[in-house]
Amino acid sequence: MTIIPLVKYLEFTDFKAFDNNSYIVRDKQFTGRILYHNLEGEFVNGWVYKNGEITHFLKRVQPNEDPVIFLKSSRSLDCQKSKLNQALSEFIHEGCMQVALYNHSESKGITFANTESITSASLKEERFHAWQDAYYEGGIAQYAKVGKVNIEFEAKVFKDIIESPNHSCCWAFMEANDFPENLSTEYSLWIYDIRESIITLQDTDYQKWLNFFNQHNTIYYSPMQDNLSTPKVIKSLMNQSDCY
Amino acid sequence: MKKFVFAIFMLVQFLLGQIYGQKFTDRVFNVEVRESVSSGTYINYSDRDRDKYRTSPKFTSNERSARDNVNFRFNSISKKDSIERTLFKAEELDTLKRGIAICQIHIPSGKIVSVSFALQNYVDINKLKRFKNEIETNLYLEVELYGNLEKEGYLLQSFPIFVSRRRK
Repeated sequence: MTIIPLVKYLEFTDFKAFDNNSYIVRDKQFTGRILYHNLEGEFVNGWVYKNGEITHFLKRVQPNEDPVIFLKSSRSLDCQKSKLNQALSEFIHEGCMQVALYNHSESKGITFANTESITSASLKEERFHAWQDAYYEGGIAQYAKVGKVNIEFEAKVFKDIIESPNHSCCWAFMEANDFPENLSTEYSLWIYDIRESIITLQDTDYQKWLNFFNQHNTIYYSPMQDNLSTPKVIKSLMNQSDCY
Repeated sequence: MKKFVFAIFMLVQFLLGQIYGQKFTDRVFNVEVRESVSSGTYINYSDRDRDKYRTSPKFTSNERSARDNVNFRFNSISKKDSIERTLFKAEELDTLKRGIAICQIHIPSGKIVSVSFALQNYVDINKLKRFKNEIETNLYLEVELYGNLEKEGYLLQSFPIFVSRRRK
């Protein structure tokens, strides 16, 4: 990670700009750029900050591609950019796994249905789907019918476990039809145990909850895909981060 | 001697029967010892009013679920810790394992209207009733809405309890 403070921020901090900025923490007044490179030293992505707020996202681009604006919409509006910047800022300051997910260089693009859906909460799930799309050979579009439930459940579990142990829980079964109260409680207990690293994410537990998810979440119901029955993408992110 | 061993065996069976699957109904809670699908045994103190608050909120954008239209922020952690420390002695909190409070949240206000508990230790039920009352009166979740709310309703959220001493 490279921190490039602007001169005015250097002066503001009495030339101690690096004392209050680290991999996870940013000073509320930070103005400048943060760049990330891979182990080969190649630029991966970065952020432009002004007074602690993200104003632009930087990414590696193809020739002739705009290096800053990455909203691809028929009408890319200022309010969309503003909402996205706010969502990005909230997202990367939420916690360790959020940073790990966001710094992942292999993720592809993400799509929002409309301006209202550009939020830090939806960004979490959509960014994860983008990483699934890059991770699973052939992408996730092939699972639109068979395996849809596997893809969706992994994203829901990820969203639930990456929150801090003090954060409220959970989303996966929030609107499940006729979901027994005891199972809802037990899912929360399982998630908190993983958040606190009391237990690790076991494939057998995951598969039990995946089956319940398919039974009770009618909007995500699909035939299951056998090779997606374990949380490969979650585990890959966990292993590559220092969060657990 | 055989009679004595048999009597001890029967007593142990009786006591085990008292623990696992034990169920009783209180004025406020239905209490039940349950075996979890993923991990060990826990004691469930289910709010008897919980079923009054089952209706999910409805949004005008039908294609998106309530889950996609709502986000929660639980910013009352220090207040919750303070309530815990008022109701439970430090020695008690040191022995209690982390449990969870399971709350029905009114959308859009964020008010907590019902509280149940899932715990790993037995806790004085009168203290739990006071805890429930304090949570409902003093805590709330900040609710962010991303869609147009058509009809108010309730969503479920949990948060951890008996962790205040660990954070100190």
